[in-house]
Amino acid sequence: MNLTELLQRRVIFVSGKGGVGKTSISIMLALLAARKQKKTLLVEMNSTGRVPPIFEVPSTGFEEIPLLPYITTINLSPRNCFKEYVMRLLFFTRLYKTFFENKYVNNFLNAAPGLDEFLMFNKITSLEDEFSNQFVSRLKYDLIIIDAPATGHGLSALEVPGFLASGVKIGPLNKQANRILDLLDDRRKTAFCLVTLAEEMPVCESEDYIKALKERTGLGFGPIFVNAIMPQVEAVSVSDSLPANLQIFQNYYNLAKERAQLNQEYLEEINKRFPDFEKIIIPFQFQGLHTSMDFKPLIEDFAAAAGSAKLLFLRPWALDLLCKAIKPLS
Amino acid sequence: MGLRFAMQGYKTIVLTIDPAKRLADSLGIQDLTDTPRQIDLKDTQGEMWAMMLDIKRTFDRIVERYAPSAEVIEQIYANNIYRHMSQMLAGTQEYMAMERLYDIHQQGEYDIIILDTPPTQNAMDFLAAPQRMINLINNSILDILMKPTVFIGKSGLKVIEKGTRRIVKIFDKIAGVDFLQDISEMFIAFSALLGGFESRAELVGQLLAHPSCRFISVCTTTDNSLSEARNFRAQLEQFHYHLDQIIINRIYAGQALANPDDYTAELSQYFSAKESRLLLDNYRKFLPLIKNDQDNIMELTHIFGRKNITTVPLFLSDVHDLDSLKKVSAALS
Repeated sequence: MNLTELLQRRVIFVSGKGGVGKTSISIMLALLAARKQKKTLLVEMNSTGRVPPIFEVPSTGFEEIPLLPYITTINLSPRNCFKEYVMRLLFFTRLYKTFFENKYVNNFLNAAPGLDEFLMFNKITSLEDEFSNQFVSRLKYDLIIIDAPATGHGLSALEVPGFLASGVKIGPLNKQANRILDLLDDRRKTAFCLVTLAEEMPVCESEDYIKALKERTGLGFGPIFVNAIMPQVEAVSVSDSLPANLQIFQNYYNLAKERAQLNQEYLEEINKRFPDFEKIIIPFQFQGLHTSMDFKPLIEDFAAAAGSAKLLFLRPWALDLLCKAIKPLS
Repeated sequence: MGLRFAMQGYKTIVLTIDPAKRLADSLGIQDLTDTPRQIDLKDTQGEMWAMMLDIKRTFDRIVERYAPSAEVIEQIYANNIYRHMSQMLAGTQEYMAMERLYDIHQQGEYDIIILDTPPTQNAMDFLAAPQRMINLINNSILDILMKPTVFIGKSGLKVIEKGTRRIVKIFDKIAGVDFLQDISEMFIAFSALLGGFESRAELVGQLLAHPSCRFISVCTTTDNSLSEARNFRAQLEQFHYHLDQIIINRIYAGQALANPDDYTAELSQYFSAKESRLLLDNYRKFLPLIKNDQDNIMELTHIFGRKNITTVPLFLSDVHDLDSLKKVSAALS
């Protein structure tokens, strides 16, 4: 599956080893989708709210926050998802308060394994079939991108719906779990993407992760994003007799050279170990990806690969507008 | 860190949850299991051991230890929820890891125990696991669900009081009565063990808050990693745990020169004009990263104090074998 095909899904999971750039890749995908006029929701799963500050919008609570035209974000809190889920079944706020804001019930729920994950997936499922309003049958979001938990925790999280669907035979919990599974396993709708660095540990972890996911879930895979590839450098004949004050130039040259070489080796390794996957190579971003404007060069680089069928922003200033942090829409 | 302590002469063990395969390979411990294995360190005074936490095994071990009879063990193993829960569900893992940590500590065989926790976002889940277990046992509706009368049958339901019945009804509406039956069955089977669990959970909590237990937060200088380190400290304080060190990993070291071009003439004494330009251009590319790291390190030093901050530079090569680990270990001391 290539980038264009990926952006035609309804739900994209982005996961990988901690620190490989899952959030950056999720934001990049959201910007690319927005460029294609897709109403995109960027979902964080119970995080500290990392996305809004990048768009220079304060991260407030657990509601949907509009970031740019076509891009909205939400940070899912298991507590809020729980309330929503229960309210849909109970209908009465007073009942909810009596029972679920009760210490004894809460202590039980806090210890209930897998509950948080189930609730967050449940919320994603209901976001997926939400309409923009009750009168028009137009979807609220065309694409939902999930900045998923890192590999280890992510695997057990993704197994929860399957366990509930098979472990709980009947009842509303079973029904919901099956609904979640239907969405996760629907390859036309959902794709799971890994982000990795071209280095030993992330590559190994990605391989194990893909293997485990194939064994234990019915997920379909999107491309692998190979992040932070150092560009190759031209040859310089290094000197052994450099004075201390010039050493730093040579040190950074060596760093760039060695890192670039290491990346090339592991790119080959990645091609060997994941022959069936499309690889999307993201160059190392020297300026860092601190704000949405920093993504502009990346978006320009990948616009063609993302499928330029119907470009919303034909003029350069329009791309600026998209990338620049503007005030929330509402 | 394990290496550093071993080289200082201590008997050290590293407990990991999910070791990278290649790392285990290069340490000569490819089949790392629940049983501690010694790593061959050549000419080192101390010893280094490694072990992987196997959640399922730990869980089974506890069941076997605290179950009053073989019958109860059978009952627990046969339970639908236990079969899944002990193997794969998030949440139980943390608690079981803590149990194993306590076990190793109690054995008293090692001078230093190093526990590699999950990433910070889940680390607090991990550390709060004993308290969650105590709350579950002491102050939750588990009591109600566990009363055998509740699920004896329709007539059994009549026995329990009105308030309880309403709670059970609501749970039924949300989760389905079958699931509740499974859960309560499991807890009934577990009830024989709960005394053991509770006293252990309390002891694990005490161990974590003891001054001899120190927390080390490893971060990089990305915006996110820093804010997580700060959150982590706040959470540790809440539990009265002791934060010892912040290790900032993979930093772009060296000076951030204001005008690299000033060095053009000097460089050209050692390199051709083209090479000098390449070196300068290359350095300039890294400059924002060097500056960013310096700012962030300064900020962290300001918050945590200089003696609590250790930095480890980004190495030229990958860290995945004993030799490269020794380099990191040297940078730590």
